[in-house]
Amino acid sequence: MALKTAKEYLDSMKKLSPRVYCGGKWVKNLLNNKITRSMVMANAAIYELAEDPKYKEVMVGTSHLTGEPINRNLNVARNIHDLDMRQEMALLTSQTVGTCNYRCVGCDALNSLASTTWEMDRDLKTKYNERFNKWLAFAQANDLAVSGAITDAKGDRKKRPSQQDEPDAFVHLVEKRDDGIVVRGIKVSQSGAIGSHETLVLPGGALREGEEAFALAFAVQNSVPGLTYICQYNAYSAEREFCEDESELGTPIYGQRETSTMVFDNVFIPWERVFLCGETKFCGKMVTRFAKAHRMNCGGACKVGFADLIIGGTVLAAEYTGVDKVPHIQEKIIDMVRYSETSHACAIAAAMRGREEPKGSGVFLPDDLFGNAAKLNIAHGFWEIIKNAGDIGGGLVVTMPRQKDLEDPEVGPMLKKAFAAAAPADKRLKVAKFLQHWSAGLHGTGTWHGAGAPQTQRFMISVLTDFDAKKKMAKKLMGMKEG
Amino acid sequence: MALENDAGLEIIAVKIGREMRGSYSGLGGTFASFVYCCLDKKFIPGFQEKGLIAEARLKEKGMLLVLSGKRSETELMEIMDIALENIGAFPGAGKAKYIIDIKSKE
Repeated sequence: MALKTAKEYLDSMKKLSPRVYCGGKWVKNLLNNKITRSMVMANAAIYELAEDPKYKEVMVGTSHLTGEPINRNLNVARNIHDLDMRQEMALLTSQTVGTCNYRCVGCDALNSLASTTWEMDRDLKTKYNERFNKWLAFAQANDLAVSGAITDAKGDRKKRPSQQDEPDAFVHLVEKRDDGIVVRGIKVSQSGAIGSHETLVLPGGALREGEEAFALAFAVQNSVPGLTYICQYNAYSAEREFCEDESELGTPIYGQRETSTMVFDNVFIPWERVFLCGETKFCGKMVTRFAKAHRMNCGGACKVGFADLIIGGTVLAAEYTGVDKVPHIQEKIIDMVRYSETSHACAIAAAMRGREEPKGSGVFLPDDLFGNAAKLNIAHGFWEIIKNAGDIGGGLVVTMPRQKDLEDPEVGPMLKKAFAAAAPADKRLKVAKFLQHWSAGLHGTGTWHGAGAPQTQRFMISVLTDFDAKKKMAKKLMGMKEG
Repeated sequence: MALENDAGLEIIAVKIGREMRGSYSGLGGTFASFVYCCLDKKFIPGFQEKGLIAEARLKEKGMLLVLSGKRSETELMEIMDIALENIGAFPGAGKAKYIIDIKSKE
């Protein structure tokens, strides 16, 4: 089996029992808890997309290891077309589920691992790439949902990992054994890890000599004893947990964006799943390569898919209120499209200008400058987009009553009278609730920080931009002499 | 066997009494993971209740796992099926590298 169906994925989830804590309770079955189920259903929808012949070009790739068709979420990009389809997948999946493609971070992590382990084997004569390819072939053959864990808890930001009072602030090595390693520590903000079969764990950043214990990359089975997931919990979690009818929610099936804190309490990782252990020199490259892939996809495609949904909802809100022909409304909607499409253009450019890295590895990574520009642009643009959605959607977006109240024999008629406009009240409330999900939900801050906060993109852009060349051009045109 | 090694896979068989009742294919190191869970963590993958393991020890070519309580062969096999999938081994045929001999305590 190289491609799992959505049903097969859901059946596999019924068997898995990761140790998950959510909103004050231990979750025994992910599908029986309204919050965790939304995450699993989103993953199932991603599997379903790969079944649809209409999306085959985007969702299905070819394994470079076996030649078999595989889900693109497990594909290593081998050319420009692969990169382009990768970012198109991020767009399509966001448009479809309105939340994370929870296999996305794993996909970008495995591309970084394919590239970096190849370089390590070349330079250090290690066997990491061989090991990684065996793991990848196994993951592809079983079409595993693989999440990615990068961000450590980090502790006191003034201190290096080894200086922390709490050593678990960073995932680290506890013991090296003949058959594997034992690790412990904490990774945070892990999107969809609970409903994945495995997680690829990478170092959280560049490391120095002396920090070998923190230089770790490995694949971990998600239900392994010693691994605990503590789910995020917020107003939207509570709303989902306690609502009478999920159809009333902003996005009824797939929810907001479910993340968890992953706690590793002496977890054993066999050597066959270890892809970096102690080689600090390669941690920076591994993380940077992950980031350049993820910024193209997360920044320039995934959030553009969200923007498409928000723009669609906003246009409907304008029509239902009767303001769709008002010039300043139209101008704001065009601005929303401008923010969104310029980011997508950056993602397409990042894919088209992608290149093999390192030379000889066969792994293609996107252009770093365009990828960072995509993410930085949407980080700012997304606030503008949700601001305009709130503007055009009106105060109703946050002041609306429950949709269900329209059915109440006493207040229903009053509400229908109050909220009917160019469309009946039920349609207006439905769209208002959808826009509330986006403009008053978790996605603004999520977009800001996902794939790295904007300051990291600014730093990368400052490093990647040849300012001297630009000064030289300006001087030449001005007729200014060098020196 | 050569093919399994090339792919980095290992076959784990489940034995109840004298009979081999199941065969699972996992990435190399899967059996080592299972052993660590049972011996060091005292948990069977996929099961969070304490005290499920009455006895666990390594044997030549595998391990003996005795579960607490009285359990039918079907129940034992169901537990192993869940446990092995939770550690990343899926039903698959081949020559077993490791055998898990599972028993009920009573």
